[in-house]
Amino acid sequence: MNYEQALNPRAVRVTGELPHLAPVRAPDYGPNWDEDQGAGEYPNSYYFYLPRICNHCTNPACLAACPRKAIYKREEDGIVLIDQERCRGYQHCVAACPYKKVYFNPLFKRSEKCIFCFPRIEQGLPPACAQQCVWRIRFVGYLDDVEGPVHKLVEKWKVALPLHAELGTQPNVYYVPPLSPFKYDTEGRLTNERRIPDAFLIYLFGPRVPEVLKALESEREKKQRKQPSELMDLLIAYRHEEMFKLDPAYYQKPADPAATPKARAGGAQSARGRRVIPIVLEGSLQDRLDNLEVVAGNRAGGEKT
Amino acid sequence: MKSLLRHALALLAVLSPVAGHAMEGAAFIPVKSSTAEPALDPLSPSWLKQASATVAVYPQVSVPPAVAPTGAATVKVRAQYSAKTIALHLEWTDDKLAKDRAVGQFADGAAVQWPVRYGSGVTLPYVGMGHGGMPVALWFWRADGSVETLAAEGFGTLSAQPPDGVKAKGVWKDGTWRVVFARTLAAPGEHRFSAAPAKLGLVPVAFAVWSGDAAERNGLKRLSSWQVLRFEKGKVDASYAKQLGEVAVTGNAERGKRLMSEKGCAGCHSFPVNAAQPRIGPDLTYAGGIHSASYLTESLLEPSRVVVPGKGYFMEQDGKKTSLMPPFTGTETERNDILAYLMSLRGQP
Repeated sequence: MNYEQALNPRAVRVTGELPHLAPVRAPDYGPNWDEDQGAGEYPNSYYFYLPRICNHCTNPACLAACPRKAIYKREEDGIVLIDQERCRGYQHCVAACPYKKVYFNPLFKRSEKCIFCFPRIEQGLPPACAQQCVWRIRFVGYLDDVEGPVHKLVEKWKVALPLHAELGTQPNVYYVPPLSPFKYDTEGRLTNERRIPDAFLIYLFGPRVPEVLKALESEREKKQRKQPSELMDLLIAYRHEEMFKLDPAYYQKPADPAATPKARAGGAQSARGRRVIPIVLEGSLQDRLDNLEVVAGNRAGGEKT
Repeated sequence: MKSLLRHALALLAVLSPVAGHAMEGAAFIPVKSSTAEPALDPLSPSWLKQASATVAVYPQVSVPPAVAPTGAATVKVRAQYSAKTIALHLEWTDDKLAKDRAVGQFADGAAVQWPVRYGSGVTLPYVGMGHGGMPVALWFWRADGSVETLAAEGFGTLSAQPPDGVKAKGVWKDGTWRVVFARTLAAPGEHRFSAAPAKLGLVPVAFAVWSGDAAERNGLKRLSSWQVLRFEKGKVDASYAKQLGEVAVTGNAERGKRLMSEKGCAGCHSFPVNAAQPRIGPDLTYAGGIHSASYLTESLLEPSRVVVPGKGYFMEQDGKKTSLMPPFTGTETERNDILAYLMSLRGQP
């Protein structure tokens, strides 16, 4: 960076103003370098993040692909899990998941995936990724819980859409499509066209994108006019705790007093089908980690190899 | 089984005339008695000098995921036993070595399948991983050096067992894998294979091999029919030998082929001349290669006795799997004709 020039008041002023702070050479690294690609032509370039976790699909392709029935969807909360005892690392699930969210662990020779932090869910806590998100963009709740934030966004306001619903697995992660700034024309004037092409958002989130963007716009304007907007209040996420509505017993109507969480914790399988998954290690973990060859180093930046 | 053994005998006659032990007309794989412990090294002269029996292995097509039906291959089998140990030596060709398991990478492998219960009057488990109530014990070796003790009661039920002490060593050389499996004759515990040659010198066994570079793993494999090991100095139970031995298939395969359409078999099963290639029951392309005549007869008469657990092949009734196939109601002649046709299905075009 040109700190010397830009921040030193005694620096040479070319046009009477201090030069902009700018890199002195073309940047060749940065956070998420090679990952944040972006698109569009300057000054109308754009990008947005699309955080993707396992969709815990209602019709999971990974589950259907497993010849060993090692993958199951829990009745009580819909979380899709790989039984690490049954998995034999055949990787049919890795190939089948259209979202590519099952990974083969070459160390343990088994497939692994997001567990939606089920031990936290069982205590009524949101998954760690949702709770610690500093920008408060992740809401967690049951889709049919009318009091919950997810129901309000998906069913009531209909502004959250599934990713690639056309793949038919009925994903359970929903996205509020991003509104983007308007484009500049060649004269540098703002146009009415948004930088992120609608076609691209429709490709990701389906044909309802235009009406969702419209609804978001109009609710935002209402809020700007100091009119109440439940949707905007929800998305602004004033109170963190209101983003999550999780009742660990939401889908459970225990008729059997023995089927309390405490009674369940010990057994591998309860009457309600909840399973505690033991992680089976061949040899000690420490041995394995000690002998693990690091094939891919962590390059935080700097020199390129 | 019986007609199949006849087939194996024919193979033996062509490929390795010195191997095979004729026993009441059936070809059993001889297990050579040895005073020394069998060598674990697959390249040991004690193995390579021994004559081998040739066993055909067929692509697994009964349940998905299935291998492309590219025809049969062969595995050469040698066997030895000492007072304490049984050892099997498998040899098969595989042009490309696939040693490691990683993301999208699979290792070559070989498995030995044993019935947990066997003997006179005991029907063999389904050849594809056994069936409900009739478990099989398995030794599974992979080219990454791992060897596992496993058990199963049908496709999809394979589960790890406490190690039974099986050792295995494989060497790949010039496009050929040679693998030795060795273990004590007896092994205590549930779901284990155990042999007592002094009491019963005939032991059923089946083999499977995987080619890692063709992404073969789990059901994507080649498997043999049930074979019979005959311990050199073991006791041969005449009734068991007869049970495992030859019965002539008397039907007319040409008529059987026609009956497959007339009787509706072609509506659900794939087989080479069935243009529709339906997937409502097991693919029969290699039915004669992997099944015995007695198993196929039983399947015709009592389809629900052993239900192949492919998706859509069966219904659940009161927690019990019931085959979608109705029991065969034709005449005995018709049944024998169909049987003759099925037994002829070994991957020929």
